[in-house]
Formats: sequence, structure tokens, C-alpha cells
Amino acid sequence: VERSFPQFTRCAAPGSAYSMSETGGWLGLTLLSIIFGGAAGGVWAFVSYIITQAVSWGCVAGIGLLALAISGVHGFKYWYYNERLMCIDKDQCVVGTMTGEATVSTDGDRKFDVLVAPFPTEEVQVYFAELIQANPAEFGPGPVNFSDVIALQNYIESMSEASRVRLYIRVVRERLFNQPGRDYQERFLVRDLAQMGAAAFNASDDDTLAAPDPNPMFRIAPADSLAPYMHNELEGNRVERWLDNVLVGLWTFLVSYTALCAVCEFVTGGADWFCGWVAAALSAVLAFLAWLISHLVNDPDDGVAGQTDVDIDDPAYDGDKSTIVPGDVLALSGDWIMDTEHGQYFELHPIKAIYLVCQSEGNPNQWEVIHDLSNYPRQERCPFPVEEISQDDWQRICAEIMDEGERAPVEVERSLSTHDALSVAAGIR
Amino acid sequence: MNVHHFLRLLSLQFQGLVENLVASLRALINNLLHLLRAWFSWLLRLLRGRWREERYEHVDCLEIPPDINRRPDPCLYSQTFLAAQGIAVTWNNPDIRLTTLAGIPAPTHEIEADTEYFVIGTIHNASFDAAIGVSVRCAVRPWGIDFSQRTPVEVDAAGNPAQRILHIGPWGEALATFRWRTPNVERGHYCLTVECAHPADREPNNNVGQENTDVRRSSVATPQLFTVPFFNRRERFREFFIRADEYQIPDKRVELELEQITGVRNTDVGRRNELLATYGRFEAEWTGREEEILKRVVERDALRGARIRLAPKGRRGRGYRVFGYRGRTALIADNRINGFPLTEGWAVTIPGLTEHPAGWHAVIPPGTTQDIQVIVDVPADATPGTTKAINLTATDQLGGVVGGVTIYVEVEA
Repeated sequence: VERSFPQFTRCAAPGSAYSMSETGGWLGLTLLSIIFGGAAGGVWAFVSYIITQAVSWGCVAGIGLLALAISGVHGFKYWYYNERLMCIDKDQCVVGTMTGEATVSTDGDRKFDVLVAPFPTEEVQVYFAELIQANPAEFGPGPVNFSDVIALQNYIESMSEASRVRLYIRVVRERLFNQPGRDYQERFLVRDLAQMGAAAFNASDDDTLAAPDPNPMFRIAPADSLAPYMHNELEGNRVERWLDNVLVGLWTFLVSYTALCAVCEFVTGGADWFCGWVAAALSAVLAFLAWLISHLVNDPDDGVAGQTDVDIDDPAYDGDKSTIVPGDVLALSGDWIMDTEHGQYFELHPIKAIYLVCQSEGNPNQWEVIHDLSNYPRQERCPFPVEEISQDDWQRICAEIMDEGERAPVEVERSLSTHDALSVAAGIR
Repeated sequence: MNVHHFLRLLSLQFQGLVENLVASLRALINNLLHLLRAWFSWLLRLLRGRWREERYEHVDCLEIPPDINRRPDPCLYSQTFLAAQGIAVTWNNPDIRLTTLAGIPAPTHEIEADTEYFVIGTIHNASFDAAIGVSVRCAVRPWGIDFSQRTPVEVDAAGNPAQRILHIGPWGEALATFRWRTPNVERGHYCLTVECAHPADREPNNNVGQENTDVRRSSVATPQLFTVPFFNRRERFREFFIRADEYQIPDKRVELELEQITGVRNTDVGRRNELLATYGRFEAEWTGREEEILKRVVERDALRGARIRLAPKGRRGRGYRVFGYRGRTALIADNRINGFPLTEGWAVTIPGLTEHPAGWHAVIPPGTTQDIQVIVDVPADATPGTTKAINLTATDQLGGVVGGVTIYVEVEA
């Protein structure tokens, strides 16, 4: 057994992962499906001719179209869950501040972004103001009041995309990671051959200012926050569920259609288009019912990540969930990948563990801090601010998380002194 | 168009044809069975009048699911927490040590004036999840019971209480060391307090530990008088009970075993009955809703202690089992709160207070300190050369521990 975390995708090695647009997108998939559908229709025509000495072209066309559709859906699903994400490195550890609200994507993943430690968002805003003021020829005069964050965000939002990307790249390279001792998570925002490996490095876009159209590893949303952020996703499987339901309907259609065609051709001796239409009408009803049953049971919306499944026998769920909001400082573990389809996003996907390090003012879980401690429980909102996280801290945090917290086997039996057992009594059931 | 990917996808279509067919048929059959089960569950809920319950909880904000969320429990030997669990306590805290700057252990009841010491607090993590960024502080209070005045033993450059940040692995421990210059007061006697905190703390009630001891040498058959200052920090008269016992932490190993935590449906009948009899018998008899009370006590039992979610290796998707360490019942049984009365011949009396089954009854005016005179009778047959530990623990009217001291009487030859 190992630590549980929901995972539905597999990442593919650099060179094996690809974007749909890379293969010609839907055109390529459609071509494949036509080949498969044509082959299926041809096989049916051959079998039908052998058995009845006649061919119902309606059945041949119908079987071919259904095989085409099944092939297309299967091909898409396989690619989406197995060859869309490019592996960079497994089990990475990132510490940073959550920026922007979490959102649910179409495929059921829950997305949220972090600004890597040790940079607080306020510090990054200062760098933007400084860089614009120092380079008016390149980035324009800037807002009237540089200390007005909203005005600064609006100004950067109104820049052309090329200028905006250049500004962000310069802030990241020239202001954030040019500080000795504070660049320990640089590899998550700036491509590094040594850190990524040659295969992943060569399979990703150039993110330097030397490129005509640089594609940085980080992402930007100046309207929400000026932070150049790293993207992260809790994994769901809404698309998988949806496709599974469609496939159940399509396969039901194909099987019943083939059976009805066979019966019809045997009875009528292959009545040209008649068998195809009759079989299609009856099979469509069956297929719809199969899809409906599947959809009711396998509700795609249940595949949204981050929901608590209250139907399973997990009485412990109640005390173990908590909410995170922008401003919280988190330590994360997950696989480091590049999403070939998502504008080559670099992200942790799936997130396997979230450790709260510092709670923002806006977190609804916050506790009242009571200074008189002899009678009262105590929690502290933020004893360890993000700007105080040093490289040494980061290494120790990641060692605790990755080596001890996530990978170390759980001991089935433990023997403690009574003194130690009393100290940790709250953890014993 | 990338020909390599195109050809690979094409070959996959044909390679996976049979697998795809089998997978889809299997999904169809599974879904049909699942649907039948769902209909049956819905029918049961309908019959029980609970048909409106939804299977999934839809949330708007980002609630971290329990298999992703990590919650530590930084803690130390906490007298208030342990007493609330029905466990006897000593005020000689095993997680708080005092040493000289050379590292030589120093007794907390006998310290030099205007001298530097190290106060070392051991912070544990009672969780399967690492504790990242635990803050630890240390304060000193007047020796006695329930004093609210807290002075940090060390301050930082800005004059704020010094803080140590620790990162503690699952079920691990780490040391927080503070430098303390004692006040320039001869025969000063203090209570040391170590406190830890974390924003995601699973159990914040076990974050404060106290070290509060005194030692006296005594001949046999000689009563010893101790004066224990008792402060009422509230703005009202309060009643307290002071009880004495001779509990000391046993030198014994405690064995913990990982067990699966099951839900109501999977808890075996014996365990269900045991839990119901222990925690919910009266409520079940009173309300007549045994099933509902049973569910509640089983869930409450499942929430006790740290938990970890494990799944078969290589599994993708959801479906995990919850595990925790069993052993608290045995721990409580071996250290139960009323299990260590003074041995025969030894006696504690507090003149001016009345003795009550819950302890010596004291009423203290608001905001005042009352010196409690405690007389310890050393029996004539006490063995010379031995040391007797006597814990004086004060509780309020609700039974909550407000403080205490541990007195050591060394019997002289």
C-alpha cells in the first residue's frame, strides 16, 4: 500500500507526449477514424457477402460510421489521459503562496496557482514598478501612481501581449532570481537544461528573451495578480466519465446494430438500404438507454476533483478536509509535467499532497489567537511567513515532505516509551 | 502533421480493438450492476425518509480532499490535555529540560540568580503528516498554580518573544532551544512553559506543557510544610479542587498497532456494541434512536487520533482505506487519573480548606493570589534514601485542570 491520491492521467516521456494540434488536430484523428471505420465496414461487407451472397449497403455504412465514431472517441480518450502530458520529473516539492481563486476546469481538475517562495506578492509588485520606471522606452511611462497596485495591474494588462511577456520575463530573470540564496525554486519558472534533462528541455518552447515569441514556463494573469505563477492541478476525471458513457452508448449501438443487420440480411437476403435503416432505428433506442443508464450511474459531475465523497465508508473525512484561499502559503508535492495541449503549461499535476505552512487573513479556517495559554488551545495563523523561507528551510521542508511524509513506509507496529506515548497521545486512537 | 504520432495512434487503434470492446462491455455491465445498487440504496433511503440526501457534497471554494490534505499535530507533554483524557499527570515535564550553557542538566527548582541556562523543549508530531513551520516559544511564570503572567525567557532583536521554527517529520520530534538569563533574585523559583503552534494543527489542545516542581529533604516522621501560591486569573470568585497523587511516568514500553478504521456498515457487531455501551448507552436509551446514536459514536471513534489514507500500490482514481494507531485505551488504563493515590502513611493536608471527594476545596477571590499551605506527612516507616513524588493538581468546578506542582520529598537517613 502507499499514500492515496486520486490520479487518472499518466504522463508520457518527452517525444511521446504530443498536442492534438501537433498531429494535425482533429483532422488527424478524423483520418484515423475514417480508416478504422472503413476497415470495419469492409469487413462487414465481406462477411455479409460470404453468408448471404448479398450486401446491405445501409448496414455497411452504419457499421462503418459507428466504428469511426468509436475509434475517434477511444483515440481521443487514450491521448487525453496517456499522451497529452509530458513528464519532466516525478514527485517534486514546491513551496509558495496561492495566488488567485481556484477554478474547476472542464475535465474536472481543480486548478490553482502559486508564486514560489520566498517571494510575497507585494515584493513582486515593487519589481514591476521599478522595471517599468527604469525602462520607459521599452514599457511605456507606466501608471500615474506606481504605488497604486490596481493602476499598475491595469497598466500591465493594457500592454501588448509581447511587451507584457517581455516585462514578466525580465522581472523573473532580472529581479526575482538574480538574488543569491533566493533562487532555489528558479527551475519551476525558468527552463534549465540541467534540471529538466535534455529530452524535456528540447521538447519545450524557448522561454528566453532571445526567442522571437518566447513561451515562459510561468503563467501570467495581471488582472488578478501580478505574480508570475506556477500552475497546479488536483486531478478529476469528468471528461473520462463523460467519454465512458458515450462509449457505452456507441458500443451498444454497434453490437445491437450488427446483430439486427445480421438477422435482417438473413431474413431479407440483403435488402440494400432497408436493413440499415431499420437496424439503426431500433439500435438507437437501445444505445440511448444504455447511455442514459451509464450517465445516471456514472455522473460526470462526480468526477470533479476536490469533492468529498460522502457515500463511501470514510468516517474520518470530516475532520481532515480544510479550505485554502489566495494568500495561503503551501508546500506541495506532485508530478512535474508539461501540458502539451494547454499552451505548454508547466505544472504540478496531479497534486499528491498539500501542506499548509501559513494561513492568510482571508482563510475561513483561521483561529483566534489567545495569548494566555495555560487553559486554552492555541493556533497561530502565520508563524512562518513566506519571505523567511530560506534555501535551507526549503530543502528541509522538502526532505520532510518527500522522504518522510510521502515516501516512507508506514510502520504496522510501533513501540514507544510511555513518556513519548503520552506526549503524542492525541495521535493514538 | 507529425507522421510518427499519426502512425502510432493508427497502430494503437487496431491493437486495442478487442481490449476496447471488452472494456466497454465490462463498463456496461458494471454500470448496470451499479445502477441496480444505486436504485436499491435510493429505495432504502426512501423507506428511511432520507431520500433527499445527496451522494456528493458540491462545494464552491477549494476544499482540499482528505487524501490530499495533510494535517500535522505538533505537541508536547501537555498536562491539561492529558488530564482531559482521564490520564494522571506530573508537573515534572519530560519534554522540558534545563541545562547549563555547558550542557549539564540543571534542576528547575534550584537555579542560580542572574545566570544563563538553556531551556530545551522537545516538540513531537503526533501525525502521519509532516509538520512544516511549527513555531515554538518559551515563557517563565511565577512558581505556583495558574499564574497568567508570562515572561518570555528570550526575546529577539525587536524585543518580541523569541520564536523557533521547526520542521518535524511524521511521528518525529525536534528540539527547540532557548537561552534564559535568570532574574537577579536569590532563591528564585519559577514555572517554565513551552508552547508550540501551527496553522493546520489537528489538535491544538496539546500545545502547552508546564514544568513546575519543588524538592525538599525530610527526615522520617517529620511533617513538611510547602507554600504553594494559587492565583485566580478571572474576574470572579472561583472554586477549585486540589488533589494529591503520587503518579510518575512509568518506565514501560507502549505498543501501538496500525488498524483500519471502518465506517458504521463495516464495524463488526462486537465493536459496535462496545462503543455503544461506552459512549452512547444512556443517550440511546433516552432517545430510543439506537441506530442514529450508534452511527454517531462510531464516527466519533473514527475521528479519534491521527489517520492516514492508504491505497493499493499503483491504483489510480479514488477508493482508499483509513488507518490509525490503536493503543490509547491501554495507555489510559496504565496511567488513569485516579489510579495513583498516596501510599499508606503518606498524607497531604491543607489547613483551612475542606476535603471533598474531588480534592481540597478552595475558593479564591478574583485577581488575587492565595498562599496554599500544604503539609506533607512523611511516615515513620519511610525508606531513607528514597524520593517520593507528590503531584498537587488543581481543577476547576468543571473538572478542567488549571495547574499544579510536583513536590519531591527526599527521605533522609
